[in-house]
Amino acid sequence: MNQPVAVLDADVLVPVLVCDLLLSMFDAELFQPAVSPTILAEVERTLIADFPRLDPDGLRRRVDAMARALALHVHDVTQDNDAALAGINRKDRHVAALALTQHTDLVVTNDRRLRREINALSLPLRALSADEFVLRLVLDTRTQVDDVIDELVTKRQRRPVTRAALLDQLAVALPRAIAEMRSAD
Amino acid sequence: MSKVLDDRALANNALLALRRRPSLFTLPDGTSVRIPKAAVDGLIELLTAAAEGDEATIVRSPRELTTQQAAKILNVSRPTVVKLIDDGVLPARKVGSHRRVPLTDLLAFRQDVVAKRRAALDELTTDAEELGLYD
Repeated sequence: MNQPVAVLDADVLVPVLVCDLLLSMFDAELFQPAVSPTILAEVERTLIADFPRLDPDGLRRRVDAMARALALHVHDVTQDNDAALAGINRKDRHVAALALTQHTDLVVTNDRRLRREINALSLPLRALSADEFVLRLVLDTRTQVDDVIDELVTKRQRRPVTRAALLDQLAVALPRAIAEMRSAD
Repeated sequence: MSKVLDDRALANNALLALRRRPSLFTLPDGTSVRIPKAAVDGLIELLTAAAEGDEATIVRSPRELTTQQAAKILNVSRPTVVKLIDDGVLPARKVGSHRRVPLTDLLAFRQDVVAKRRAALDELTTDAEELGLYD
């Protein structure tokens, strides 16, 4: 099976548990990610806006750690793809442009409008929600995804979580993927 | 005696003959051939596997890799490997118009990248716990 290559949009890196899962699945080499400095800046802005009571420096450190984890997968958009991407709204065009620059197969985004626009393009590029993407990885590499979940549970030292509780929490954002995982438990 | 037992006996006899790890072998026509130590070691491994009834596979590890092979090992795109080489981060030499990456350098680089990535991922979890992001 060819390993998927996917642009991760900011909105799938903001929710903490989904971000943890995606980055851990990348660490397990279940897929190859691509992000850009623009996407990471958007993650930072959104985190600070979503958690107004938390220390902004702590949230900036989080995005800095994300950037270091993704190190070789942070790319600038180097090509002007305006003609090919005319069907994409201007604000989100950089996401699809990154996919073209990096020749990825997929864009993972929870933005319905962006998914619809990308999937309407006549390009070999598909947009999936985080749930659809994780479901695909579960179906293709179930054992490895299971191992990733176990590792996430093990990592939670200060605020422990059980596997069942973590799956419950993930199921809120990834209902189909987690239902599929549970069907095999 | 079955063929399997025959092969195991033959392998055991050959292992006895090779116990001193000779490098010089004489062919039936009387010609002498000197064999590199790595090849003798490999032959002994194969015979040991056969003597124990196991199967052995020879995996070839090239000393140098193409940028495409390097990309696969690093789980990155080929242009990323080319950029790492052009930036002087990853050693390589040119063979004609192609770049070749020494395997040992690539594996050391990969180890470093993975260690830094794991440290950053651990930090993400610890920071999220401290910030109360899991609450």
